[in-house]
Amino acid sequence: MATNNELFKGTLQTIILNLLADNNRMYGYEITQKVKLITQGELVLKEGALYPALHKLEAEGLLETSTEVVENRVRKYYALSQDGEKEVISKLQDAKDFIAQLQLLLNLKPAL
Amino acid sequence: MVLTEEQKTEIREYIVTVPKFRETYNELYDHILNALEDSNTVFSIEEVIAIVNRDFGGFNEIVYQEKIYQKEIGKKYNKHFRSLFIDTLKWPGVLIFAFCALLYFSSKTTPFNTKPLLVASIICSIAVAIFGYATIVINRIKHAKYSILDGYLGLECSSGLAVINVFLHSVLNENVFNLSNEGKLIAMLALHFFCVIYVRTFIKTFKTKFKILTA
Repeated sequence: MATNNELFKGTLQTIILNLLADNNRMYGYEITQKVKLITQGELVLKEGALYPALHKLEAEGLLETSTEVVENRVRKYYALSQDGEKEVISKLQDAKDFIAQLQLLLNLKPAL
Repeated sequence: MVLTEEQKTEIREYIVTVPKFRETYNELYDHILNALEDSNTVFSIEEVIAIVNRDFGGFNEIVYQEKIYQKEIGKKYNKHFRSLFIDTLKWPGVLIFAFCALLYFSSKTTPFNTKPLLVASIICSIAVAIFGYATIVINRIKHAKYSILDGYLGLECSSGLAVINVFLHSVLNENVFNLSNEGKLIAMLALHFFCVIYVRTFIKTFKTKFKILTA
């Protein structure tokens, strides 16, 4: 069953920050592929969702960027800033609390 | 799929006019090439259009998001510049200025010539403006597109000159303010102090922030 991407919109920033916490630095396409791999193709970042979210996080100072020339093209890498490292902990806690509340509200049993 | 140089040129020609800034263009181009290299289909420009629509929401969305990005990043760097500028005025940095002023007023026996201060302030501000605009033009020629930070850089590098201009036409203009010689001296010292901090802040900001995107 395909995952409804709408449900993930509010947690996109958390997903990105958490991926970057685990992977040091990543570029845009790499993030989309990693999300696809982890969710086994169920969640696909599209409709211009990823890059605006990355740019917003960068403007908020949660991400730092660097560029590198790879195969004759410029690649922009994103990494967590010091503020981003602190924010990822708080965002993950928020997500956990939200999931717990949702389970209570919808009478869902956590997956085993 | 493995892309040939002709196919890469075709992609570049297709997307080059869409993004206004090179950061967006580079990100878009890299993403398209990565997506095509990962796919097993045969190259066609329709495939490129499909990637642009699927992953970026189309050309209109790219242009729209680019404007938002420029605004947000400009706000971030403005905030950074302001905080660096204000930090110099905080303790203990401001102590140096107070010490210099005290030293001057306690040892002054002859009238002070403010012209060198004014000339130095103007030269400093003009140098910053020339450097900033030269950087923008050189990078524009080198990369064929403006950087998303060029608007902000242009604003910052000309703000010192603007402040001096306003200062010359108001505070130091005898038709507007009738200041005593002592008053003019204090105003001149304040202007020079502003210029020194402005130039230092500009250099600091340029070194730490602009190098990333001008690579």
